[in-house]
Amino acid sequence: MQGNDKELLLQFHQADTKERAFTAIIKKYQEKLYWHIRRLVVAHDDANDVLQNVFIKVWNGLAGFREDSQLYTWLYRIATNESLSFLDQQKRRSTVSMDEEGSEALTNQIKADSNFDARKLEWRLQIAIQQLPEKQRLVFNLRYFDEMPYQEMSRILDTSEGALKASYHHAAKKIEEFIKNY
Amino acid sequence: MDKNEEILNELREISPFLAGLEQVNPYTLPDGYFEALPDRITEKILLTADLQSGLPNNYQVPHGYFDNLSDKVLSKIKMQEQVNEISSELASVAPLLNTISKAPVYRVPEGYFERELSIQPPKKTAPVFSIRLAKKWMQYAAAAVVAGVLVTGAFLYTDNSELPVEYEKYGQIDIPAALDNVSEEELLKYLGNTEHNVIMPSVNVSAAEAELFDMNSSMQTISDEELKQYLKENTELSDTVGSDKME
Repeated sequence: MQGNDKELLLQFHQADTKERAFTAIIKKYQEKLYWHIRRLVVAHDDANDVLQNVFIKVWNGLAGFREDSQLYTWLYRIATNESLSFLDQQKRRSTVSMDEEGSEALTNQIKADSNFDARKLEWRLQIAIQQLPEKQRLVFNLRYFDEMPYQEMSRILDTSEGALKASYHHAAKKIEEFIKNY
Repeated sequence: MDKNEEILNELREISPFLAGLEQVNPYTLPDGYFEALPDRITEKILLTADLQSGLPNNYQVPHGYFDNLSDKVLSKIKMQEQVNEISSELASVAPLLNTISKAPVYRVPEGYFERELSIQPPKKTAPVFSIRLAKKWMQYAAAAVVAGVLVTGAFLYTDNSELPVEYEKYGQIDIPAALDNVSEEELLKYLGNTEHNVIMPSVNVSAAEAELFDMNSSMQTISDEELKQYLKENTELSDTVGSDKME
């Protein structure tokens, strides 16, 4: 565990420094978690809702946090679960149950962005990512954008490193193919 | 080897095309979003914590309030269902009645229901006869009368106390021999006392049979000529009757 995180956790466990420590944790991880969530749920408002829920859960669960894992890994795990739960709720609300149709909805959200430009590769990349199955999408995002080691990713997603490498490999190939043919 | 370099090399092996792409974030977010976010989240958490009774609650509930709450709610629901049932029944029969208030129109003196009812003991106590006791005796008497009538009726109806007459036994008695042993005086006395008490089957002899008996006994005293004459007369009569019938 990073030295700074350990200190923040100690402060969090003390009543007089609890809120200050928690604010510091938010400031430290908010951007990383936000972009992780945003890439999954696409819309800013949705990402904002999910992020706030993540930190509320962190506040409620931090007292029982087992320090045998990194705070960073634990936060990502919560953020990932909250994002996937949110997407599941969205699917149920729109009576869309198929993964492909869910991807289509997210693709439409990307295209609805005011800055969307289909000629730009960065937008094509985002659309390509939404075509991936959920697990591959997660692995690709964590590896490509967050540059996360497989070992940490394995703790977050409860998947073996070998399986994660395979997923990342398949995901990168599919994305390349999609972008070239878009 | 640097971590980023390791990831980049991996990607180069998988997809040189992607490895060559410049990482540009196309998404935007409101200005100052991250600056304001910690305060917003802390505010929300404190509010949520208040709602989840993480902080002391100024409100209080009566002791044991939650113990009976479910029962109270259920009984209220049942009562409401009953009212709805009555209301819907009335709606189908007479909807107008449902629109009229059921509030009482009559008034009672103020504090009527709050006043305690005091029972004053009577100054003179009159003797009290229990009507119940007299009633009970009457019932017993009536039951006894009914039982008596039933028993008497049953006795009369089923009474077979009359001794059967042993006709065969008396038929085997040698009356003349027996009579030899009886003195004349006793016979006269017997005949005098029991003139109608003759031992024989109680068969009702009709008047016609009695007449026939008399005729048989008198036939011996009638001569042949008289008989012929009788038959002649009767034959003519029967012929006449027969011819009448034929006609």
